[in-house]
Amino acid sequence: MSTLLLLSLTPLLAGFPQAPEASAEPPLVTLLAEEIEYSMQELAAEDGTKPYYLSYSVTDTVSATIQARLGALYADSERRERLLDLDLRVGDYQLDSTHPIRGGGGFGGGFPAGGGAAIALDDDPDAIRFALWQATGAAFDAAYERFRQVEANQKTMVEEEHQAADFSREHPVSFFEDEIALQIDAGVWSERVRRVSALAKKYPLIYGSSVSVAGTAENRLLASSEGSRLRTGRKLLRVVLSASTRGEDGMELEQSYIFNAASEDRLPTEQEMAAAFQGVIDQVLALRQAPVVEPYTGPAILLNRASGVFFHEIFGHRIEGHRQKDVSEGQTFTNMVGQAVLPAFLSVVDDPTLASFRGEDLRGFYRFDDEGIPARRVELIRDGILQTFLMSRSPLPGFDRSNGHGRREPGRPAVSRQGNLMVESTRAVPFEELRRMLIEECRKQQKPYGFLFEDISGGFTSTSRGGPQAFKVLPIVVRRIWADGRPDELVRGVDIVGTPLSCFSKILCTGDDPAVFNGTCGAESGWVPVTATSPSILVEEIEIERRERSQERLPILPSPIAPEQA
Amino acid sequence: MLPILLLLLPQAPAQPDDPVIRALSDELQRTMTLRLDGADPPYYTRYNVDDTDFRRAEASFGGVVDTTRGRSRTLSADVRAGSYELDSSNAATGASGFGGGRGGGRSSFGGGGTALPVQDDYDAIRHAVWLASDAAYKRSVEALAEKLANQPKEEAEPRPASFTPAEPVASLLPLARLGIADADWERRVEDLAAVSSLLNRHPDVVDGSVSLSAAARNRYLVSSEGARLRHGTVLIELRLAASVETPERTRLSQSLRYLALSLEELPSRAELETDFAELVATLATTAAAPRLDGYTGPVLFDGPAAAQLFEALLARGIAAQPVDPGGERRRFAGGENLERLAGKRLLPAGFRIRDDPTAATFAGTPLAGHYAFDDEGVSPRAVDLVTDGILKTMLCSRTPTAAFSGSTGHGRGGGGSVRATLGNLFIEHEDGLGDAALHQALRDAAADAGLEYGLRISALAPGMAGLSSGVSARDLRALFQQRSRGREMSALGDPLQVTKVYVDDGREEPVRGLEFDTVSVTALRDIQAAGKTPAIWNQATGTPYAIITPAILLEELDLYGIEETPPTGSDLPAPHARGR
Repeated sequence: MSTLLLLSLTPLLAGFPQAPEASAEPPLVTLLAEEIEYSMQELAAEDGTKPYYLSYSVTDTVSATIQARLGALYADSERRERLLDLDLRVGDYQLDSTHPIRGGGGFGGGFPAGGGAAIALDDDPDAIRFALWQATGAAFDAAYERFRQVEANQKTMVEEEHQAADFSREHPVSFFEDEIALQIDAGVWSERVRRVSALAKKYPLIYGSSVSVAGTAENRLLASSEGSRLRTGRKLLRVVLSASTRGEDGMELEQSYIFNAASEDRLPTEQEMAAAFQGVIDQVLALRQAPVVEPYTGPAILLNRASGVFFHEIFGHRIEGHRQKDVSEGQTFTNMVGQAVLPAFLSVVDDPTLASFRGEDLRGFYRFDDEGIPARRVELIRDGILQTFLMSRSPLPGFDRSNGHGRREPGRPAVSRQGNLMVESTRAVPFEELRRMLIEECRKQQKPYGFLFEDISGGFTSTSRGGPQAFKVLPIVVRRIWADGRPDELVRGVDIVGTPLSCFSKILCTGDDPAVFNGTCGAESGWVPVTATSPSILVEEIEIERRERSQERLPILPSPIAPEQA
Repeated sequence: MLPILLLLLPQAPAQPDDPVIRALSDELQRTMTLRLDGADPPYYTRYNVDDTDFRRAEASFGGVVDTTRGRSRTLSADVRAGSYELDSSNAATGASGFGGGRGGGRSSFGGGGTALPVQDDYDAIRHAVWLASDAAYKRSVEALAEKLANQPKEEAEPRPASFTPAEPVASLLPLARLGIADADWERRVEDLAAVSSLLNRHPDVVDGSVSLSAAARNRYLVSSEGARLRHGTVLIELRLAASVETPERTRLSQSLRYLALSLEELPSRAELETDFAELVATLATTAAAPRLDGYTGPVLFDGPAAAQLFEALLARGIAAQPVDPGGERRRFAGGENLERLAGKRLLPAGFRIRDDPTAATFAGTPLAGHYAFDDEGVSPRAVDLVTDGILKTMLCSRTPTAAFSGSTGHGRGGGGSVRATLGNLFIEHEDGLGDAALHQALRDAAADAGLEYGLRISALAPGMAGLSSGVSARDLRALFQQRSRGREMSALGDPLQVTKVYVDDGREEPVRGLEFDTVSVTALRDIQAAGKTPAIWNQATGTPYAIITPAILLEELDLYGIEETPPTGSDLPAPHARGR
């Protein structure tokens, strides 16, 4: 076991300020383990049914936000909470109480109870034992009841398409990191965000603006009936600068810039913040002047970070293991392992063990997933060929082990999720060359222009079988690149739409400029921090449509803040 | 008592040096000039700012589980198009002039307000007020147009006006400050943890907590009529709560609350321990009591139960609510509107009901429903609602109804959702009986009905009526648990603490497992007797209010046994019951 851990930790040691050191087992982990032992022994229904698996995880989160607008402090909040999640299963690894109930619609009998109970902030053993007991009893009752429904359902329905087990068998792990604490100096940061935010006072057309610093320090403890015992820490810090306005036509225009950091000393300086805020303001005001473009189909470049978001949405969500199992899912890739799904010059990995990339901290970094499984680098696509899926402890036929991607927000059951998704290319050219290729492609297709998507705010994708297998990506900075050599032109009001398989097949080439997009991804198991890293990509054909427009008008009166005041 | 400086607005208003008031007043001048297309400028604008500084801590089973502190400032802009006679408010579509602009950012506390800076920054406040007013004005123009379009050509009855003018008041009271030293707070939090550890010693307890919250709330109000107000309160609430389970695994929860104006006024640790032990013991007795299948006969409501009965039957209905044009009168839980009973008998002769928000305390206890000004800038007055059992009038906001017009200073609920709401509701009977006499009256009534015993109910579980003021998360869970077992949530919560009082010798035996048949406000006419010792029911969350009432003997009520099926599953003993 220790070999495996060392392997996965090696890449971090260089880039990470405090190399994780094995500490002694924290008393709370011992207590969790004791209670698991007790419950596994004593917990039984009248008919003798007992749980076969029980794990407790306690997530202790301290979060703080300091926000200012126009030179004045808004909310300044700090919060600490400890949430208990438990996974209690009745049945066995092959068929258990979490098995989907068919014909019941959606989640069938519902998820087992017991997620997200608040527990004592100090390690008071009585208070914590009590909370564990209370949640465990309720979860057992629910799991017991649900397993009876599962068994009944098995008898009445036709044989399932997939015969994979409900829970994978894994080796127990034991690892304890030092406890981490949030150390944002409220006094210093209040003044800093206040001062930077005052910059917006000079701009009467900036209707909304905000400068904030936010941080969370999360200490997570886990124990399971299989013998795993963990304590891991994660710190996520952000400085967010944003500004918004409206176009003369009422279109809402918003820009933001985010600094991500994994420790306080890596947060930006006031000068860096001011420069970024100025950039955001300039950009959003420039967008106000930009023309709205018509629907279009033709060649385009997605700049590296934008391409990262694109891959996260369009590709990443479709290789999450649990979607291959759920019959309500579209299962774009379920039966495509060993087949080409991307051009042969592209490979994609998801590597949560990477803490930083080219000097940038990665939000998708973790050592153990939320089911206590060591994070692993997973090669999803090699030379265009689909290799495997992102796996939690919910196996698929032919993939019976987790690869450390079972993730969740505290309070929800874990499913397979992305960590650090990285797109790698063997057909990579300098950006200028990629731009030249775009113009060439325009000429070839007899298009007067192509598009450069510089920044994408996010997107959504439908993976369900009922809906179309389509996606929409919301770009915020888009430039028109003219084939006749006219200067590039900033435009607004467009969304990218398409279907994944046809879109992937049209990627022609990439840049040699991989860059990091750090974000937060929301899905069934809640919000989890993620990263997507990609070079710029040139796509032969992309479809854009006009963005739905707000009917709201500009403010009737000018800003009450006189520009000369600022 | 707080010193109240009341200045009727003179010709030249005193120049307030409060930056919040100044920013609101200055931006209000501009808002009154707003014009959109052909529409007129607003005829009325009011800004409410709610500034809350709070701390909260909760302990359970000997450990602190939550500590929170926070500060927030929220603006509501009420911008009205039209005229007092007919304006944009209360439109059928629900689109009204309230709220804030997107640019200003929504408050995290919900309720449609706009977040303001917590610093007294004139420019930043004005900027947020500007955008909120702009959005509110645009919505009001739209709402008025829709209202006019939907108006029937001829109306059967004359429509009440939309809004009544009010005398503007200028009064800047000193800011309320939390003023709690960290050390004092920490000491109190230690007390919470210590008191909560009592739960560990009781094997029947399945849940419970001791929580403390302290809030300094300052309210600002500026209106185009000339009102300039600033007033604040500090309220501290300590709550003891415990739950036990019956053999059928039904959860019985009860809480005890203490309201104070300072930490020092709260009971000591020893007093809390005594009260908590008693609460838990009473619950345990109830849980172990035999079930009763049903009952029809006289019921004595005493302790908090009497106030809970009035809360469920009167709290909403005694406040006059306008009818939405084109819509039906909204029916709230416990909110049968009593307007149709105006001038008629509501209770037996001898009863008097008065609402008096100007009362700060009663028998030395602070009253949650005390306030200096309502959210429409009107100073409240005591209102005699029921005289000799007859409903004389109702509590009014500045929105008239068919029968009532003119504010009584009861327009409350935060700037964005003002409605007539009770303050301190005093219920009295001129011939109230002493405890012993009331007990005897119950026995007599039971004997009269040919029964072996009568019922005394001393506490109810929270019902829907409590939702109006915001019940705690724990109470909500209990309510939903009740519903998830296939039962309707009624305005009146289930009886929690019930005893049989035997006719022959007056002995009492606890029972459990009962629920009320539908109880409507007409049941109040059958009150047979009332006590004379009033109990105080303070509701400090949401829009605070208090109900002060003696015990009440109802001539006849129907109660049914709750059907329960014990859940299957485990019976793992609680950690504190393992005998380790």
